[in-house]
Amino acid sequence: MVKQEKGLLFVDEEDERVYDKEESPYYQEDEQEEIPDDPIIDSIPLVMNTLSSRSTQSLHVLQYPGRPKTRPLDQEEYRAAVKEESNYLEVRLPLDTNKFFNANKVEEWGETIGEQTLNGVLDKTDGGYYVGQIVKDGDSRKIVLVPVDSTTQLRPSFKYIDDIDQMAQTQRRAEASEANKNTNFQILQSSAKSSSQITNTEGFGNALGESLRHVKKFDEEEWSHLKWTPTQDELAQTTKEQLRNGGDGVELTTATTFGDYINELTRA
Amino acid sequence: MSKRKASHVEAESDEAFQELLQPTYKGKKLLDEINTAEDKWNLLPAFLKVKGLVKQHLDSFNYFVDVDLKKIIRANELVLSDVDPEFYLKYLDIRVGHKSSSAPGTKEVILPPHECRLRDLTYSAPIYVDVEYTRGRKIIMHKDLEIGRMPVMLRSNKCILDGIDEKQMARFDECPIDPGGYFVVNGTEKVILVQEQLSKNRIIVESDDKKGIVQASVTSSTHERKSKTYVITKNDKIYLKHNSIGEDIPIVIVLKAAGITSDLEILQLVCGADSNYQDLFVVNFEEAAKLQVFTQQQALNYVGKRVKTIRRAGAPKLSQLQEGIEAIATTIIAHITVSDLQFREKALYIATMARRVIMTMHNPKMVDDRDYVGNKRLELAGQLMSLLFEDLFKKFNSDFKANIDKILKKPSRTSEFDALLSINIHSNNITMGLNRAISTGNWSLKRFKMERAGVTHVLSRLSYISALGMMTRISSQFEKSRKVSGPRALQPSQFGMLCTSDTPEGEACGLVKNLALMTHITTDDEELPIRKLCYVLGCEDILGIDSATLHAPGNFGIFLNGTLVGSSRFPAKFVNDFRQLRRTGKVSEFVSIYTNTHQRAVHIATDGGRICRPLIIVENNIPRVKAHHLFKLQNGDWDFDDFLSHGLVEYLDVNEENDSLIALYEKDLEENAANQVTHLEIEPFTVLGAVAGLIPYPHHNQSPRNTYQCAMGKQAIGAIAYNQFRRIDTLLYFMVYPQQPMVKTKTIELIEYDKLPAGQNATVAVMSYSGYDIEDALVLNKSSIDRGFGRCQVVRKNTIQLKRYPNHTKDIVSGMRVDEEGNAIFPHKALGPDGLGEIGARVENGQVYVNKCVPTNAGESVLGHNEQAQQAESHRETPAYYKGPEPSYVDQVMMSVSDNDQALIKVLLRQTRRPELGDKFSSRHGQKGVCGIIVQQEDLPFNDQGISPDIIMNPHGFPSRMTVGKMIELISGKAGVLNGSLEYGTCFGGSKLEDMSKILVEKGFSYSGKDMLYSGITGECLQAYIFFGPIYYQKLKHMVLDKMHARARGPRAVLTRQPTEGRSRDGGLRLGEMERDCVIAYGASQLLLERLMISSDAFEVDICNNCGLMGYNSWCTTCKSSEHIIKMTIPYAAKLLFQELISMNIAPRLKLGDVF
Repeated sequence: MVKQEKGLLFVDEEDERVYDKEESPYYQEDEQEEIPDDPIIDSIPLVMNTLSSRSTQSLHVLQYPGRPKTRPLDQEEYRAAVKEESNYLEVRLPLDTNKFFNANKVEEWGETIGEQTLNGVLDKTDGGYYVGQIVKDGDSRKIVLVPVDSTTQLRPSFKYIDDIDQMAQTQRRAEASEANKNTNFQILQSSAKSSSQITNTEGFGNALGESLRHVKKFDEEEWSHLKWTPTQDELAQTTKEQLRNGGDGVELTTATTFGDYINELTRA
Repeated sequence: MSKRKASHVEAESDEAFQELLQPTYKGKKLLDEINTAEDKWNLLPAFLKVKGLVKQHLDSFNYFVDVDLKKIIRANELVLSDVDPEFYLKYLDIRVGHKSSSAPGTKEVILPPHECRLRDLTYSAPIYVDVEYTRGRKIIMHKDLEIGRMPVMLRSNKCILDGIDEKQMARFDECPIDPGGYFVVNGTEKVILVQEQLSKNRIIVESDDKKGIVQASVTSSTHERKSKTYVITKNDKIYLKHNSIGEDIPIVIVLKAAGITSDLEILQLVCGADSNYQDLFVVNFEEAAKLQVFTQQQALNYVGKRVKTIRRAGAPKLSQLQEGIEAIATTIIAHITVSDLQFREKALYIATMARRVIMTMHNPKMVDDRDYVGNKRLELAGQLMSLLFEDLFKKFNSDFKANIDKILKKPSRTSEFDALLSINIHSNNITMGLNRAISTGNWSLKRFKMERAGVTHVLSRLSYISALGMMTRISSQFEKSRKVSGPRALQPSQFGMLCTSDTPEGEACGLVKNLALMTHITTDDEELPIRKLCYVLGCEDILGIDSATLHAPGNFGIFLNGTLVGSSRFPAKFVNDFRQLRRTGKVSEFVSIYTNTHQRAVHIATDGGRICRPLIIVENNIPRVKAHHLFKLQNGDWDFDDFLSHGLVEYLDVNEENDSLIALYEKDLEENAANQVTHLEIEPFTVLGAVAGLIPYPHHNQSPRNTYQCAMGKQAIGAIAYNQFRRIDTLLYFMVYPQQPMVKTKTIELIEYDKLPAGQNATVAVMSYSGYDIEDALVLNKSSIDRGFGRCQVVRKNTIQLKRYPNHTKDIVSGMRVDEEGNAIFPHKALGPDGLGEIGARVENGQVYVNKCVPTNAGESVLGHNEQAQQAESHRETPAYYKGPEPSYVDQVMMSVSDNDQALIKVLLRQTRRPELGDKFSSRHGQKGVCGIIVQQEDLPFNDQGISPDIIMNPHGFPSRMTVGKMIELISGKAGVLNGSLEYGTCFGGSKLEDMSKILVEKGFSYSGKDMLYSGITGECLQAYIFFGPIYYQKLKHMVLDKMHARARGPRAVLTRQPTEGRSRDGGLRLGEMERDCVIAYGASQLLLERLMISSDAFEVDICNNCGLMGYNSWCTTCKSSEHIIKMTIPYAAKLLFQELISMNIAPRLKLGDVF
């Protein structure tokens, strides 16, 4: 379930809940003072842990909205790429053509569609989010919390449709101006790719609105490819193990009081 | 109170007096028992001590100068040059009224405010900025650069009057009771009225049943732009509408453009799992499919194609796709910013709008109410000033940039360019811009292409209460002419926030409102810390939630200032925890949070302009404020803020109020033990505002009467301020012997109306007398008038400017002229040898009070024969004549220099007026009447003690008006007189009638307030007992002397030769259309002729009976003959009409026949 490559590591979200780290201490204090009829039923030790080498590794939560839990993406190797500056992640999966697949449409489009593209923006968490897991080891239980760098929701982008559009458009333009024929577009990403008729010269970079500047930056940035590791892979397993048990034994005491923490938060 | 204490220390000798002068409103001595139910109202003076009566204005202005200015500077911090890429100027900081080097607490203002009033100056403080800029290669820091002057609101933290005591106030010629909150611009006091608007950045859902349209709209407002986005239904399909997009875009396409490409997800976001909603929405998918839009890129292209592009010069041409991205990212719902191509938040916002529409389509009751006070925001002086300042500052920067570009463009410059030299040139623009806007009231903002007139008003100084009433006024943006009742109606949600009584009658009825006594208007609060706090309190980030769970049952969306930021499964706990933090002071007390179960949402608001009020927190049906807390308050150990920080009292805005159960009285808590009461009112009489608070026993009156009194209370003549005799205003009325009312209210004490009252306690007999009392006319006692009842002074300012002319000549004041005996000639009787009216001199009609002379050669050019001109400087008299039916006395003469170096003379003329027939009086119950007759005291009825009334009022005034409060006022007043006490008529409280009757009986009077009177004429006992006692009467500003007017002959208008119009021009009395109709109907033709022609504009013309046109001098110019000329009289207006027709090539020919 844990994959690692080029310093990036992804944890599937399916069976792990995301908690706020400060949720529990606050509530405990609050409840003890204010609500006496809310007794403590059980107590489970909390373990905080991080990746072993933070400088080269990072932890991200990937969500697949619209994809059922029964079909986890941890069995095969998929193609993934990231634009780090633009915080953009793309994963390519083979398309399941057995179900809910209109083969006639493919014929109509005259393309072989074998791949599905999922992509999403990596939303930085600013250190506020932790991924947690309740680890049962016989009778002893613990909750392991690991800070997450960013979260993202990966959605299909139907890139193949845009590609067809693009082809049609190119063809039309090519027909319109035979002399100045444009050849072979290499479109990497669909949703934000600006078409080539724009002259991306440096001259008007500043004149664009902020959102278009983002688009421009995105377009100019190169994809850096990632390796997708299945859960069963040894590397993933060791990382997982390290995260689960690596933080045991060290007892942390907090110097921050609850009041200090709230003050820190609410300071404008 | 703090002021009083401070003066204690200074003046030991006064201490004994001060003790006596301590207001008795605390009512209790130190050893008295404290009862929470009775004494919790003490929180109110504590609140007003901290907040003041016009705190909303001051808070807003303080926020503007301290916080908002810095934000504006940060948003516009860089000035770059197009010519030299190396050049930059950066604003680092901004301050108003003090330099970076000056000691803390320095308040650098031009002059004390009163001096500004007298000298027609603007009370302002310098605006300093710190800048960093390049000069050649060097980077230079410059501190305390003045870029203009900011008008300062009186009593704000930039004003020298802030936090000083009564003594120091006196030194500045200021009244300590004056609330401040206004500006002094060019010598006039200007108020920026509170403006009421629909709230920004919030979704409002409305429906039109007739057209079957449901629409959700949101007005996005950012620093740069203001735009409105709609999600509307059209033929049961949903579209997004925006001004910058040519046609309405199907909602599914918009959502796809915003990155939600899967239909499943759209359905989840808009409808959730509710099949009703899904059925309604499904048709929209078909529309998108029909249009062949499946992917985000297709959708963006679709949107981009329909964007109305307004390209600025030099901006690049955008492709369709770019247009689409730009539209979705920045134009639509502009207040949500898109960063890193993460459109999710915006998509969710649009989906929320669509969801609200679907919900309303399914259940029409889900619409929002525009008139609900929770959907309104009040715009105050600070916000308006900040809009204006940002506009001026942008202009300033662009002017500055243009200037440096011009200089930098020059190829060879002799010296190194210093940008600072050219920045000073434009500093006048900011000063002038601010001044002009405040003095004219025209707010023109280029950025928003907005032009608003009538934002500021001259502060009414008729009386203290009229000034105060003006400061609490709220004007609405609605058009007065529109015939909609909704915005004018009394909204249940305005309880406790806006006064229920104080609104004008007539066209502005219900549109102009007033704040209630204990309201606070919020200023903007930082959003980010609250957002972080939400996540800590268990709200899940919106970016981490998948669309299916968002609307899952039991999930509540969490909205911060209208924007979805997350969701929670435990909304009750979330809200509770949040409130707990607010009560401990960790979160600003003005942040509101409430649950909306219909929308399954928790709304948090931190924005400015919400109205809120403090309430006592109740837990387990026990109020948190206990006796020992109030004891601390009375001892001065605690102030109001301590109650807030200890979580005993909290502010609720209108929306949060709806989420609470508020008990009116403590007794309601026990009665409502089954319900979870959350709050307790501090005092119910705070539903009324400052002006309505003057009315004694208003809860016994018919409600329109209270509204009438609110209008009239502002017209009452009384004391204006402690500095009233130092003021030189255009027109001021003073009451000569104002009295505080016998029956007062707690509001009166709180607003210190008892120190600056406007009225007198008149002994009133409710009976018929003389027949001159019909139609509410009053009978006045002549001796009372002799003793000073209703006497007032009117002072009027006359300004004379001595100008200087370009040819070095100037106006002068020349001395009086004398006759042979050496006495001043009649017109110059009031003048002294200096040519100015002598103080105390009587000025009659036609006499001169300033003998100004202008040079005869003022218009001549400066050049040429200037030596001659200087030698023979001759002047022509242009004296200022006094005009008026009654003489005046010179009260004050002030000579000064205004800011353009011209001499300024202000002469204040005074009249003392005793009441006369026709002067208008009113009690405090909307019962107005004019003086119908003045009767000798000996002819008036008298009672056993020999007391005769000051006023006799006809009893017919009562039955239809139902002002029972006035009757109770009389009884309470009478009891107070007999008892030697001042009684209370506070709303929903006050002295009880039963107790008052008891006092009357004890003192040997009838419990009913009726006395046996004897006729002053016959000496016989009157047949009935007469309701007899003191009622507070106000003299209103409408006096006969200002209105009386008659004319026999007089001036005529030049064009029409008809008599002039209006009293001020000695005009005639018009026989109007309707009167004319009557005369015609009656057949009084000769009267008609006389009124309409002979007494008006009769004109003798020569008519040529041959051609029918007019000739002159017995000669027809058309026929070249005098043969057929006939003289006749026609109205000059008719002659004018004929001539005008001729000028249009129409010949009106008269055919004359014989009369007999």
